Amino acid sequence: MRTREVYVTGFGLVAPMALDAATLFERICQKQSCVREHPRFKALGFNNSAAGFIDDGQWQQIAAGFGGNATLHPRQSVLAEFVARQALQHAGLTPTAFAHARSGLFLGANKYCADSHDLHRASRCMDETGRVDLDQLLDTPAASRALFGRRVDQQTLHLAETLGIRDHISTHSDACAAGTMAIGSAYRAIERGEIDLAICGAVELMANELPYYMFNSLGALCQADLPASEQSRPFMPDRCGFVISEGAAMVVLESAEHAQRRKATPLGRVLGYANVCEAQKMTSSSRDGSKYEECMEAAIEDAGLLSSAVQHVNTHGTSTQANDSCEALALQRVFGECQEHVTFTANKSAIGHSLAGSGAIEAVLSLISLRDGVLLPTLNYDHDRTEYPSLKFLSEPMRQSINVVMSNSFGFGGVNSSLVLGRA
Amino acid sequence: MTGATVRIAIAGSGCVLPSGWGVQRFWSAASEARSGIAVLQSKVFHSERVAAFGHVSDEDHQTSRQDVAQNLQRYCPPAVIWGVSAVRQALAEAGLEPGNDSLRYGLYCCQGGYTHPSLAAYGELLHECRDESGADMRRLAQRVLQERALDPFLVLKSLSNGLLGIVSLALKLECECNAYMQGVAGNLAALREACAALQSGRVDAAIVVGAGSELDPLALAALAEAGVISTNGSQTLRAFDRQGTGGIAGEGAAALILRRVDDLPDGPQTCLSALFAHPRLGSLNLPDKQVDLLVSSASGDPQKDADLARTLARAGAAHITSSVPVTGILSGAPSLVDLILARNALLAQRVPPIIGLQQPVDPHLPFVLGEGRDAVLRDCLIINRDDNGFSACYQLDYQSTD
Repeated sequence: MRTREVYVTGFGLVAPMALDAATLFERICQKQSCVREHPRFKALGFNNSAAGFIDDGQWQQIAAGFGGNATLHPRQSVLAEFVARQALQHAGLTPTAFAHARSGLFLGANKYCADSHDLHRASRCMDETGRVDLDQLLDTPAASRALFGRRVDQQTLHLAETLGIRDHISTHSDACAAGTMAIGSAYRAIERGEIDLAICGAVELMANELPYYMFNSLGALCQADLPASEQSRPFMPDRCGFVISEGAAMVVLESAEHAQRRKATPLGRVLGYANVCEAQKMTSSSRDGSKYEECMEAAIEDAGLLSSAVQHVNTHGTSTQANDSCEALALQRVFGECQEHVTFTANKSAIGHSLAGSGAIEAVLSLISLRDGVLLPTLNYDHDRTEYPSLKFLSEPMRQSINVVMSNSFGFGGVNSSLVLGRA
Repeated sequence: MTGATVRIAIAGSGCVLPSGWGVQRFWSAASEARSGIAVLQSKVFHSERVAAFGHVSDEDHQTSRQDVAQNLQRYCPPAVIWGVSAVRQALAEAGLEPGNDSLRYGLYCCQGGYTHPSLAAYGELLHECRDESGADMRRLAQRVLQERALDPFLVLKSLSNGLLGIVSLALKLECECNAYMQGVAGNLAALREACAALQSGRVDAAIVVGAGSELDPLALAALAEAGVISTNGSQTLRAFDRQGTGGIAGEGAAALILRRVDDLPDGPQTCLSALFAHPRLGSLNLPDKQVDLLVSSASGDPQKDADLARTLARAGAAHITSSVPVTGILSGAPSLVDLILARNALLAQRVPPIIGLQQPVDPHLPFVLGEGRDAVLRDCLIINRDDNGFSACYQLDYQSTD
């Protein structure tokens, strides 16, 4: 047992086509994809407009619950508040609890890029040589009234102000690993006794055209001639890239003492964590899976467990050739002969890849699996055609009580992270 | 640093700033009251209202490039290259060679906001797809998606953890790591995690590095709309001055190497003894004892600087200075730069002046005007307020050999 146990006592989530965690979990159980054609991408004439995105109807509901004029705040702040409210309510906490405790806020998020509106605005201020007249640009109002609307730390600032959190405030920007690393950092701060209460996770809003252009130019996005819902196919031989997505999830973590003092019901525990840079390549890991293996082993060791104790893995599983290959080989190396006792899932098959958001969303789905004893299927997965038959990916939901789940997130730039979660 | 009994020292530092390449150039500029702020220059845009900027010079950029392997430079915006160079400087001062020693390293990075993709990445395409009403975005989409007109590595240049990835690759660092975004809050988070990793014994040497640039029309427009930078054509940033005309943005990178004091040889040390943060400046925790030196951020806006001065008065200090007129307002490494300034002041027992300050917003505060001055300095407080909201406070203590 650790010096200070870290409990999960609440969570909140918004994903494409799901305004809470239960809805998303149920959708995946029913093998319903959250990926569909993005109307903005269609309007711009994309050949492939598949994406996971928070639609206008969802945004209306999210904004309706905002404690202020949502149009004056960046969208990421509005979304963060919505998800945080869910998490606090789930944990049985009031917002004032954070101001009265040694608390922390750890939020993952990458950059919020300019979009077509910004580019169009700038293009109208170009002279005949293509140089932008900044003075003219300053006289051309931006579409949003929110100041610093593209700054990635604004949701962190908003929640820190709303909840009265001081000192332990961070915006984690570790690419696709940021959500997991935010949760891991919160876990460590509680575990070492610096804080007793944390809200942590990620908010990512990258399902717009500029990230699409950039990832596609690198060849990272799926461009297969398949229905939108079938494009994300992790660990299948015909996988050919990820589907861009977005979303947010947060969990409330508490020291066991803090949770017990207020008689909170634990939903799960954080048992271990590892975060490492691997210095291999900017876009892929060691081909033999050894670097991902080292990360997973470090997290399991941090949990004080052997790999045989891990019963289920929520894989990073992006549906790119390189990442899934590295991860599959790493999983085979980590679990060796124990593989047959472990089940695996790849949530991005249903949600797409919400980048920083993915690790937090997958942590929440893992916690529900631990709590409810239901393991999620991987959509578009065919046992008969799989490239890695020794890894038991589920193609149907499965009812099975488990005690330990590992959730992986690996990011561009060579940042790897694994989180080990346990049943309450 | 709750419960910290393990003292953490700054063992090395490096920087690439508008004042020049290296800590010595920065310290000289600060001591001799030379600002790095100059006329704004860009091939991508022009302006009369935003007339000045704290540029890293082309010469210093070329010097920095020598610290990054050619094959990695295609993934790097300029600020990341400066970051790698700053880290190498800091490691050299600390006498460390990752890979050639047995130390366990940690890497904690912070990037500023609009380092990439800047409008420059799309400038040519936009110009090409433009008609009388602006760019045809469907045509741009076609050029990008079907004709592959975009730099394939743009996504890597745009990574918010690109600095982390490139530093780890350049130094072959396989170690604990974290990447954070944005200014004061990002610097604070990186420093806090680095200290925690050292204190808990997970690492033996922590590399903390920040880098960023706002030299982009959309970025500068956002700063202007928020009132962070002036749009009156001002060429100088006058910190804490009643005649201040507003802020001027700058760019650059800074790095620190942190070590446990007990692991270092005997000698003078500057120790990072406290870290505080708060989203509201007025609620920021401050130590309850007077300090010898206070290094503060500044906005160049007399009203905002007067507000900030009220917090400085609460802190109590014998001397107050600021690095902002040297560099401009930084988005990637503001706190790291101030820590470097503070460390050098403690080591030199000398306080650099606030460049250009003539009529302080609070005449009762001990702002250093005119020339620098020698002083007995045992400790220093650094108070940073970011333009987008966050505030942080750091305390540095000086341990001489006596």
